[in-house]
Amino acid sequence: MEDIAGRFAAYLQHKMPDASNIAVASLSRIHGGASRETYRVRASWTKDGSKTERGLILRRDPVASLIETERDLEYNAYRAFHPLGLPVPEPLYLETDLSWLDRPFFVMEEIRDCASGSAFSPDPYGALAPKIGEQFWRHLGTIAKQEPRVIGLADTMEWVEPADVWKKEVTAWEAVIDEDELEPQPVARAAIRWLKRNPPPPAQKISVVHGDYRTGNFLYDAQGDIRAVLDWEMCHLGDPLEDLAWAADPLWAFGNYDRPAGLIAREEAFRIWRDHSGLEIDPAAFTWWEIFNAVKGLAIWISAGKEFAVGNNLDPVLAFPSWYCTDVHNRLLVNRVSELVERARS
Amino acid sequence: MTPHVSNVMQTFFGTLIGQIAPALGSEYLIGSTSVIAMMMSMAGTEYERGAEVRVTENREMRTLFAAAAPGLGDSALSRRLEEASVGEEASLRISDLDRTNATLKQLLIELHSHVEELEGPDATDLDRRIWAFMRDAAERRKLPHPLAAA
Repeated sequence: MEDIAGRFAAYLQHKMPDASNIAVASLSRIHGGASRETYRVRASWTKDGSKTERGLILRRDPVASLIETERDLEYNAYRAFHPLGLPVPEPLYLETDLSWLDRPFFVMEEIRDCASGSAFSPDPYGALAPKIGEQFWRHLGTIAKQEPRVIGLADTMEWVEPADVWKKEVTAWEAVIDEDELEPQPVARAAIRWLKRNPPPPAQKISVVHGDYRTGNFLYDAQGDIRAVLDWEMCHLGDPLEDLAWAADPLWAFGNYDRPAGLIAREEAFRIWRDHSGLEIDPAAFTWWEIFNAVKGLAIWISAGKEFAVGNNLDPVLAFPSWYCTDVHNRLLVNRVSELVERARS
Repeated sequence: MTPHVSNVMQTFFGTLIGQIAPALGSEYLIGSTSVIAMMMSMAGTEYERGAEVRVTENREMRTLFAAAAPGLGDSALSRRLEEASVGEEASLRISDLDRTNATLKQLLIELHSHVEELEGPDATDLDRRIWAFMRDAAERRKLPHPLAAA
């Protein structure tokens, strides 16, 4: 840990050649998403005669992770959304030169005096749930409303045509299961076949999809104000209903389908999203994305389990979803898809 | 083995969550310890039921294969199903049961995929039986969340 602190101080000096007395007073690892090593840093420096102290977050690529992503995706998302007023941390530096910390990393501002709810506790937000809930679904609507070309993300993310979105996503996540499964997955395979046999209508628009917008991936303060939407590692261009269905997945609400994300009632949540995105929720398309997201979840949990099992990353955070989340999504899928198959027969 | 493994795991879950994690200074270690505690609780559940769950699943898949083998219109698949349907557990070690379980599940995937392409009431009936098996199997493997149970 001391080693990283010293090397990071040297990096800050490199980025701020006019500053002096640069010091890293503390650097401690925190849980900040299972795909990057995340550190909270307290740094100080003197510039133009005045001393500055600042909290920073350092996100370094791990040796192996739950989600294999490019760190510039996440950094670019912060850079695109920060000027729009969406609560995201200010991105500061993106570094791919391995000489500094052995692996690529990026640095952003620390959002202080906040908490993140846990998806794995029964009532993560308590009395603040109504206030947080309004913001949670509004911010997701705001993300969906943006035009990727206007905010500069169409240049850095792979474009996809509205009619091709579903196929691209299913193909990608099926490939993850193909590559990482350590045991056969009859439920996931049956669900994937269902997804291919029952494609959704083309996306009503191509949006920036956060990819992991959910309970636990945002920070809120004691007044119940959301201060930062985090963990954009899986962001991509696609169907905005993908994000809506992922955020409403019962896994993130302790199994509560009617109060998605453990916040406010489903109907109210979706009304807020519609109002702020300007988009509609086609029931058949939404159902398709619900099923897809459970498959995507399974792919992530299977991948995490493999990383742990083969010893690439022994963080307990990778082992837990491989047990618990796999179980939840397997049950969810087997019940929902068998019901849909049966409904199609009648 | 006294105290019983499930009892030990459940007790240690409470100790880790209630006493040890709060005493740790590092936010990262508190998070990791809490996750480890929850997994210990789940491991206690699995220790108690693990063999039963796997033996039941394997037996039900063999029964399903025996019923499905005739009339599939694919003699090679039918032959493999018949062969698999007469197997039995040579060992009750979890790792051995898992190996057999994986072999049977791979065959189940092939069978299900094949059945979905067939038409007629027999195929529909078989498809329903496969879904019913998968629903029951998933329910048997449900992991009680320790915080929900607390």
